[in-house]
Amino acid sequence: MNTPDELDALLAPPQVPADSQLRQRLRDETARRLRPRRTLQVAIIAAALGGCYAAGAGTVWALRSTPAPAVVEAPRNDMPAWRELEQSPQQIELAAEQSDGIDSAKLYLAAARKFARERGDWTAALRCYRNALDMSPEAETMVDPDNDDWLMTALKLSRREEIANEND
Amino acid sequence: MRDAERVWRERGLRAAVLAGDALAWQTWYDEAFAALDAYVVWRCGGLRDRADDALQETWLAAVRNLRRFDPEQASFVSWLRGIAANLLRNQLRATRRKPTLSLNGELPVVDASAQRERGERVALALAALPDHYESVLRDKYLDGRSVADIALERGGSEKAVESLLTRARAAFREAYGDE
Repeated sequence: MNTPDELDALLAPPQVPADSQLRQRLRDETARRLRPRRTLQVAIIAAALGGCYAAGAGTVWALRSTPAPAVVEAPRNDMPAWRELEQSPQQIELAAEQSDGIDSAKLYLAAARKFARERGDWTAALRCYRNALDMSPEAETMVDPDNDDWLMTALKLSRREEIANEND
Repeated sequence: MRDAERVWRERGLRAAVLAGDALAWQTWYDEAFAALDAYVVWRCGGLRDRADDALQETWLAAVRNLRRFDPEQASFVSWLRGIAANLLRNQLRATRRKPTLSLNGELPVVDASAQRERGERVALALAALPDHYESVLRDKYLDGRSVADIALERGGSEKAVESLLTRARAAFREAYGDE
């Protein structure tokens, strides 16, 4: 093999195309081997989601299993020292009469609300509301839309007007 | 296809295939099959049976290592050809060390076909060549590219490519004659 023609013939690409069955078989085989990658990815994603779920569930469990801290209810400043809710409005009114200052005002207010809401005794409620306002400083004549009923609102507005007139 | 466009496209195909898109793989496979097959058959000296084995191993290796394929470094077909070249080189080295035996393991197989003998000698000679000789012979003979085209791609002069081809042919002639 010395001539360039012979060498060119040896290096020329052989014309022996692949069998179509081989091509198909290799395509199927390679595609099949690539499929597990997807399965694996799906498994990884599912495991990750499962892990997130487990972490969330674990957090909830941990929070629930932790004993709730004991809550010591401090007496609220706006409430009298004793539990007027367990008593009748008459008893609360009596306690108000025996108290002084702001405590007395709060007890009258509590008694008035009980008379109005539980008994529908608006006369007694009016009496207690008036006493509560008499015992309160001027700031207490501000209308409390969340707690004041129509009677107390009317009394407060009237009282504010009286105060304003006195100042004039 | 411009190189940037090829990189963009092959990057997308690679991502799709790795995500499990069967249609993307079918497209890529079909596009690359003929070019890889031609190369493997050329490297096997036209021996179809040997080429079929190498082809199968190449595709399976490609699937296993697809994550390593970087479109920025080379085209998919070039990458596949690189895998095939390594496989063939290793196979032929093993063949040289271990003479073929007949079924009873006593006598060497005598292939009467001169065509087959010639094919095996071509395969061995190509496997013995350094990469830069093999690649320039591949560009010239297998891909049928002109010297000017090869020079343009390699960023060299036509004279340099001619010189390289001359040396590559001489190396091949020597390797072929030695077998």
